[in-house]
Amino acid sequence: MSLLRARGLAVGYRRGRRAPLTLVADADLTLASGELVCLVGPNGAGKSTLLRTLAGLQEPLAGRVTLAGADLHAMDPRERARGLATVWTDPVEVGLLAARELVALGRHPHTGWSGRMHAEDEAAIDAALAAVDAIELAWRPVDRLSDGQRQKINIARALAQEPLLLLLDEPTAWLDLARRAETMALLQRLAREQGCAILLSSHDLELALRHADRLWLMSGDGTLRAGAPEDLALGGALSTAFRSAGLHYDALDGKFVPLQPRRGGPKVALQGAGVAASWTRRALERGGYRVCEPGSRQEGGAEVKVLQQGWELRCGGSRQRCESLESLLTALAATPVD
Amino acid sequence: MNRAFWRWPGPTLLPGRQQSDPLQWRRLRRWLLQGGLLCLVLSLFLLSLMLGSVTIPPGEVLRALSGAGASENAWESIVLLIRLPKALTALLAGAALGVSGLLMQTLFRNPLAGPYVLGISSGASLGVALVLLGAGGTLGITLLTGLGPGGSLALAGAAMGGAALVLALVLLVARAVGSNMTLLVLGVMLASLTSALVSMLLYFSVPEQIQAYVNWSFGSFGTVSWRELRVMAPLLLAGLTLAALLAKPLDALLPGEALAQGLGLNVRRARLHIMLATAVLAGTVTAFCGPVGFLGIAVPHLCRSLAGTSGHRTLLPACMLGGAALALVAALVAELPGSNLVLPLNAVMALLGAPVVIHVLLRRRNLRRVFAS
Repeated sequence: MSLLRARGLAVGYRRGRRAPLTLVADADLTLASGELVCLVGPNGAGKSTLLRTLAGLQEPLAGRVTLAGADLHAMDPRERARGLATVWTDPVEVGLLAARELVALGRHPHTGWSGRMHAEDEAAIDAALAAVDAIELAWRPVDRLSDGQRQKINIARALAQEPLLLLLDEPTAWLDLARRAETMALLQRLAREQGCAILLSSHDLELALRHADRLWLMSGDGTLRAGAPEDLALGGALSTAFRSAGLHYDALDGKFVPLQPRRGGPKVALQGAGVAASWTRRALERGGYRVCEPGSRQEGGAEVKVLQQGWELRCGGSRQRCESLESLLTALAATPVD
Repeated sequence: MNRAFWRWPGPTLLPGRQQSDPLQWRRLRRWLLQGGLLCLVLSLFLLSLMLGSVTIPPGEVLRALSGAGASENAWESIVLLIRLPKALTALLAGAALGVSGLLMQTLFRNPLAGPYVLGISSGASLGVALVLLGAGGTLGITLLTGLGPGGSLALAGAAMGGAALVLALVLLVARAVGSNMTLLVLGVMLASLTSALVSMLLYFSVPEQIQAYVNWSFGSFGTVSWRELRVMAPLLLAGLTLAALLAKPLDALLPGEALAQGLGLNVRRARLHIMLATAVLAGTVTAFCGPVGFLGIAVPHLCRSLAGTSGHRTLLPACMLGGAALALVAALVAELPGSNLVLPLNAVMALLGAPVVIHVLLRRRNLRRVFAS
């Protein structure tokens, strides 16, 4: 049973007398409870516009969206806010409020005209704070929180609305790498534990591939493909959508790598295994060398051996020990390799 | 001298660590703040009945108020006919301006917004200028000096008419305009337009008319007698009631319009209500007391600093009380107790208030935290 259902949805902007700008045409979408879906696509493909439309902030150009059976765009805004909560990219500025007071704003669709909180509202606020693991932040002023903490509080605010569907527009855009992974893991856990459907747009493909149950892939030509991340990666849809000069999708590793500009760089043989060897390979490739197996080393070619501590560079008859990859690259640059 | 020793600790936003229940503590602090402000307003009110060109002892003031009759007839009429309506006017006008300043600062998320950003006072000025300057010759001066029947009520009517005209324009545009910022610029433009018209009128006026207009623009709580108060008080009380009902939508607007919409707020309707409350409050005050400036911008900042929160369930009553207190102080000082001189209200208010605001803002350094942009 799907929670959110869109039929023949067209999304874009009306532009007065000119023809409307259509970003997505004729899409059929479904979203089920407990599901984490990532909306991915290149810049300008219309991710935010689609999210705004699904959040009810913008009318679709065509088609109909239903949330739990009711027409999303015909709903009373208060009613809609009880079923659907949103978190937007921009950092929230609320002036002098404690984190808990910001979370308490999430109770607005549930409270009466005066905004008075009852015991169940307070309980929902505490539960939301607990769900994002931010109880100790409750009485800190929002403007004194780090970006990562603030995003947690934002998500808690959305959870306090007790929504069926949670929409997030690039929730990790302002965060560092570790905080991004943490946030994605948090969202995945929330989808499982709270049973709400979560749709988020993201630029972080690796994380999206790892955590999403399904991907909605927008390629910027008006099409939207939905599917399991692995299917989209295997079928080549991902690499097509993100195809651009200088970027290459490595289907084996599941990540995007910049094309090496110097294809015909000098060959260096690499001997060793494990983590150290893999990082050595990266360093060499970045330096513009072609890494090959130790056996295929030509006469007079360079060879790098990964040691217990440090690296050994052999070239012709000479041997040189390097303590870091940086010094290895410097040494290599100084050595004439073919 | 040890700074920490004499410095009032002040409520801060971070009780957390030593308090067992922060929620309880915050509620307690809210009540302490409101209670303190209420005591301040009450004592200032009593003080403004006592002080003036003659000093009347508190006992006599209370006797006059209770109807028992003061020992001197003159005292009784001074208290009941002059000082009481004036103090009530200051109380209500101060509360009205403080609250409408808060409404505008929250709606536009701008620290420089005040009750008059919608162009209300400029509209009122235009109405008054038309009557005083445009009506030609003696009529305007007669109206201002209050010699004619219903003089100041007519003046108030003219001010209200002008304010309503500008407000109607702004509201009309507000229905079509999506963004609050556009509205803010629109208000500023309309204010420039109307003040340009007033300048034109002033340019072609005789000195007596100009003097009359300038006197009006100084602002005063003293021109309001019981007769005017009967019109002004219900309007202001209605505006204050409407504002008090807006705490929830105002809170929802704190994180910005997009999020407010996501919280289920009908932003257009909330905006309309906020603007309507502001218009009634600021328009009425301007009509009866002239364009009383400064207070509306300063009081919300003071109250936010003191309360340490942007929550409107705290700030709305705090701004009412704080505005009333500041207005009472300014009216008292403008009287120059013990003398027969009366200073212009606007000038006194800014002279007294600006240093306080500057001091509080510099010491607490949280203006940027409130309006990060």
